[in-house]
Amino acid sequence: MEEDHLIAKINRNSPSREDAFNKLMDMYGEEIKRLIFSFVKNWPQAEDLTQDVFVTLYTKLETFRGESNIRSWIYSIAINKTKDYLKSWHFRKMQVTDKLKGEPKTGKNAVELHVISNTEDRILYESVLQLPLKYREVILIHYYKEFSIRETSEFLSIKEATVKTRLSRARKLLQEQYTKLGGER
Amino acid sequence: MMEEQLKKLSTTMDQGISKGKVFTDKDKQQILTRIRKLSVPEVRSKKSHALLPKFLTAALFTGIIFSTYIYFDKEPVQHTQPNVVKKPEEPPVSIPNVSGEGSSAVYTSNVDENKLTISLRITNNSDSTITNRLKYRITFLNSDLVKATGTESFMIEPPNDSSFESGGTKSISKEFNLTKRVARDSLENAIKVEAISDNKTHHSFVIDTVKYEAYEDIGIVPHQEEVEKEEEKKEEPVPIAISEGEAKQILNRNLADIKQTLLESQKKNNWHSDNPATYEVAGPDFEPFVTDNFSNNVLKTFLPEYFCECDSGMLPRIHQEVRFNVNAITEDMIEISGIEPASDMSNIGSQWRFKLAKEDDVWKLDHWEESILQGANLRLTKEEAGKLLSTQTNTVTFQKEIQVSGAKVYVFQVKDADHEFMAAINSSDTSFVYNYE
Repeated sequence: MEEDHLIAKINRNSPSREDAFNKLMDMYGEEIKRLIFSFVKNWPQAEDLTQDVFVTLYTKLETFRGESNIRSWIYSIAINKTKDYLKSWHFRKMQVTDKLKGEPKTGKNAVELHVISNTEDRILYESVLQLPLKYREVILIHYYKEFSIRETSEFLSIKEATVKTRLSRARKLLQEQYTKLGGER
Repeated sequence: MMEEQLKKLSTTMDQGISKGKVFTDKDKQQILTRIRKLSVPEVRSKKSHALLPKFLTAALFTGIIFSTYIYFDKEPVQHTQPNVVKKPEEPPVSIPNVSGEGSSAVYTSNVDENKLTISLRITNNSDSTITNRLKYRITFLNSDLVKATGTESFMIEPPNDSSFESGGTKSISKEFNLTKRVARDSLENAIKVEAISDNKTHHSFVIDTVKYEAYEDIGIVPHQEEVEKEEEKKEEPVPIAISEGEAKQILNRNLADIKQTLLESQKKNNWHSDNPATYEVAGPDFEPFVTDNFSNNVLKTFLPEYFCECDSGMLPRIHQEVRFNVNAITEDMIEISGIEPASDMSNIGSQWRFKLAKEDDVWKLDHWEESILQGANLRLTKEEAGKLLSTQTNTVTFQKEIQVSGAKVYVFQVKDADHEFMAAINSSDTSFVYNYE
């Protein structure tokens, strides 16, 4: 309900438009930036992409038809932008450059990992980030962000049955990776 | 183990990513700066408006009113400041903010007629009176309901009395005469309503309160002659060439043949995740078991994905005792549905629908369709849930029925030669429930 009022305010071009948009950023900025990071595993890119998401949101708000809730809509923008980036020449070039430089795979993750005190959780976190994108994305959307199979299939534009199959395969891979990194069977 | 850990993945990931805030004021400022930059042309145009009267005033003082007026009115505006011409101001866009809480539907069925009455209760949650004319589109999301009403969607256009005040509620009702009876399940989450104005949907919801009043449900026993009348109305039964049991056997045999063909094709062509099957090479091997329709619409996409080392989730594994139903049989067509219950590997069940067609005296698979049970409500009985857990080597004993997150869950004790454990099954979608008292 509060969200509907905010969108109406932004669309009406009212003087409080910026305040309303600020509030939307307060509500979703944190979770969107975290999701994007879990896809791209790189903070500067996560920052840029989060900005892109909210700028797009601002420019497209007038087209929001209210058929889904605003959270799903923001997620859909974020996932599309992130996947476009991961498919882009810039990202592929960065990957190659990183490999040539011989930088550690995890980079900042290695530092961040210290914040997880529980070893099992730390291993699980690392295992998830190491999954191939095709499997990581379904795990992140369905388990991390707790969207249903149907919503996950809509975000990724794939069939529900495919989501289910990928989840099944992803869990298997995750279990293997988790055990390989020292997690309990 | 993994399923349990994945359930708290949200916490694990958030802690792993960062314990502190990652979206900061700096992020917000950068976003706002980018947005303000987007709006620059608009700001410039406003400044031009402000400058024009100043120039005109200056011209008045210098005594060259007429010629300068023309100069400023035409030349600068046309060549250097195209945005100076003031457009008529558009009225502010008012977006109707409505909700449909309290909307309901009633299904009534007796010997003579079947009716569906939809009662909408629309509330204006806007701060002001809604002046836009609101229309309501009803969409039926269930194929049986579509058949019975004869339409997929229907637009209700109430007269515009322009008095939908803030906080007010309007009641709108629409009755549909159905051409046939529909099952209770067909009405669940099957009526979608959209509030529309100016070709935009402003709010949509699905009616979840449906009252079902079929005569056998409400205790009205029809007179014998009415029953006979209804019997007469029924279509003549089509001669059935095979029994339901035989139909199920045909499907099972067909699925087994397809599985065997997949295994042989893999062996022959060394298909694996890095060498995915191609329809052109593998497809012809399936011709004895599937129709052209299945080949073109299913196999073409299925084959390249199948050998991904995740085959366990791709072929249907239909439970043979629970909800395995033959829906239609004719001499040359069989329609069957069944469920693939949730498992330890994939805690999400599926519903499958199959169509087999007879070609040159051979039954072939013509179509299959899988839909996820998440969000469904199968209303499994405890006997059915028990059957889902049973194997040839274990003993399943019902313990209790509990409610978890609004769903009915059956708890069983399962014993086999080596283990004894408790298992809980969600009656709505067959999923295993782990967190219960």
